[in-house]
Amino acid sequence: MAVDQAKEAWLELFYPTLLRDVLALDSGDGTPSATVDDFRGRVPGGFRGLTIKLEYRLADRMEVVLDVSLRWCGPAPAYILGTPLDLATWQKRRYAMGYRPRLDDRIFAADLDEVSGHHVHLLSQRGGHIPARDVDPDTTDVDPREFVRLVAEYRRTKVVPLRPKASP
Amino acid sequence: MELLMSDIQSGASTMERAKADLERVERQLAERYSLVRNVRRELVALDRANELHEDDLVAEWHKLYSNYLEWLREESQFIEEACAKTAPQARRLKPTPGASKPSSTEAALAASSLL
Repeated sequence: MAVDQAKEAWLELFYPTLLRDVLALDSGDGTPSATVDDFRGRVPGGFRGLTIKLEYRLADRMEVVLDVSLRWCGPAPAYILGTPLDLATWQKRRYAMGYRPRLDDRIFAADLDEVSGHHVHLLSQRGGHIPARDVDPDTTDVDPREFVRLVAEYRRTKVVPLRPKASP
Repeated sequence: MELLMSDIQSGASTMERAKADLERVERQLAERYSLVRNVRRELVALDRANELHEDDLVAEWHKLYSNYLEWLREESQFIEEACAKTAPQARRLKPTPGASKPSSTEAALAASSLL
């Protein structure tokens, strides 16, 4: 599933520049795909939650996956399409962001799920859960655009940009 | 804007769908990890022990599990709000012995919090 006009509009609404940032990882030589679904709390003209997933298969067989579920927590009962969108009024309920060789284990990833809360996976640490606060930089609630910046840094330096904090 | 409205209509989530999707993935994981009883609880225990290999199927399970729990919470909140609205009336009623049995939603939430 490619990024059609509607998906591009959703991405631009919630995360302006995200698609461009992702494509810039390899000058747009790869293949992006996006899904936007799991709409919750629908009201006329609006909704209270959704899931946005953007995948980018780079030309060198690497892959970035950014999958975020957001819930509205603004003052009105729901977000109404066409009104200004402030990301601060949306709470991330779950996310999974990772960088990996296609179909392989993630080299590094930042996740939020029901079992482990905000955490990180590092291939160098056998992929186990590391609390996000125990990693530098702390990836708690990380913005997908910031995660893409980390991926770009890794591709440039070949050094994983997330490091477990040294024990005191 | 019409394009986006159309996405909202076609991509709507339902609790029944969330539950069915979760159970489908849990059946696959149960087979992989040879789980036979209380699969969800076993999967959570394995995940906490870092014994689940974080591949696409496990990522999908995390997503669906979070999604389903959220449905349960929303349902629970809805019931609480509905009860709060009827509370003044309820206070006038004579309590029935054994009437405090939790609803299936409350029971499911309680089970989840035990995991």
